Amino acid sequence: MGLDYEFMWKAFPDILSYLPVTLKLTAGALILSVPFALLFAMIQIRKVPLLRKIVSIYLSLIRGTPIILQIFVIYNLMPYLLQKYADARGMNLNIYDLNGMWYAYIALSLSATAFLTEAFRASIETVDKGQFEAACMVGMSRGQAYRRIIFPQAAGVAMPVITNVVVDTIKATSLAFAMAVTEVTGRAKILGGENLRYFEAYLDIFLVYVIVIGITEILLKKLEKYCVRYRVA
Amino acid sequence: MRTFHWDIFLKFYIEILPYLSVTFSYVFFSLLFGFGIGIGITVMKFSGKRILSALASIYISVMRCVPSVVLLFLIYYGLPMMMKGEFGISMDHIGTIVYVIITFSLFLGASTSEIMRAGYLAVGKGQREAGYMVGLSGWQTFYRIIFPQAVRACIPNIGNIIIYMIKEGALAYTIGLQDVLGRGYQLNSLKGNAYSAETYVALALIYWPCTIILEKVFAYIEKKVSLADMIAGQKTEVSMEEI
Repeated sequence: MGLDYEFMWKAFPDILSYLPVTLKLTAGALILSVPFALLFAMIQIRKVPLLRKIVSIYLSLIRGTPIILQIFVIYNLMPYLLQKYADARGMNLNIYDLNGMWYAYIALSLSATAFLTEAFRASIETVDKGQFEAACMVGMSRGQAYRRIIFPQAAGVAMPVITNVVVDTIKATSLAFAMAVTEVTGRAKILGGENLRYFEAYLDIFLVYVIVIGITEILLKKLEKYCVRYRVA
Repeated sequence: MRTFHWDIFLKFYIEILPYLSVTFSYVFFSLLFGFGIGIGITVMKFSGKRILSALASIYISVMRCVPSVVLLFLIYYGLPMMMKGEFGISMDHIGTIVYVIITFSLFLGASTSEIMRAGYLAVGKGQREAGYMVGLSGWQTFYRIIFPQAVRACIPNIGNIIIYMIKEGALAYTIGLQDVLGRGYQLNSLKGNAYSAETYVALALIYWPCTIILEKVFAYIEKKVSLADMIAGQKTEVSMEEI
């Protein structure tokens, strides 16, 4: 069907050189979301009065809206509001100097946080409550009980969902073009537009994503095997 | 800080809301064709032929690895090129929504087949054996014993993929489809992006309730036809009491 193989061959290394941006976005978003997800999960498990309601509204809102809309809000609206706020407070601050990557991290971590919260909460709740009590009985502090007894067991249960979140985050980085961040998809869009070879450019990134996510899944499967070692069958 | 223009918000909201019909139509057709593909993939997977089941597995894993926009672009740019190059058919007059439906049917083909497989496996093997024991044929056992139970096991997942579809479908704006998000995006652009806050709040207040309602409906259906109840043979009793 008249594919321009030469273009595909030439564009591939060019596109691949933007893979670090994709991986950076993924890693940044995940690193940012883990502590919040853990906090939110604990709020839900401990049933902290008001905060629990706020967390569930957050979870429902993120689950209920398209990720692209969340990106629009963070990228188009947040800097504007922050700037207005800074100006109103008389702060000499230019929000627009902030690197666009930061908005991408925040936007992508919104949904990662929500889904990780669910994963953490559900997995911690699978560990029998008696174990926590037993740990406290033998003189461990709450923190120690969670770190040494609960988390290692919960990790095995949470791993499949965590794998999904990681894969979804990698896939969501393909929307970073809406935030003017050039990663793999963004680069393909540019190259495809310059040469009017969209289809070939997208075939290239199709391959890139299949390979990258395929490898990620294999690695996470290995990690999952390691994590379930504490699991009582 | 500038004030939130409630009148603009309301105007946008009313203007965008009818475009839910576009969103729902691609959701409906993608599900329809997606289930078709899904049935095919599931049959291949359980066919017992190694090549077929390997192909089905490859299809499912590849679909899992591709971001929606990438497949959307591939179909949007590739299909007309292929049709023209191979068969000399022009696709110029084909509406954008067709590409969206094709793309998401392919995605849903993979996810529905995973759901069907899980549903099929949720029904114990003993049930099939019991079916054979009382003299039912393979097909009879399937559609009288396995299928009704497998469908019940699938219900929560079906709710999830409809929600997934509504949300991922929003990406159709990238190829210029005017669905809920696409219309909002256009309205906002026409006003020079001056009313972004109003647009986004309006969009969120359209998508969010849809998801909540769907979640509630599916939780209700699930409760009504729950597998556990049916196995325990309490289903009729429960509904009688409720009446």
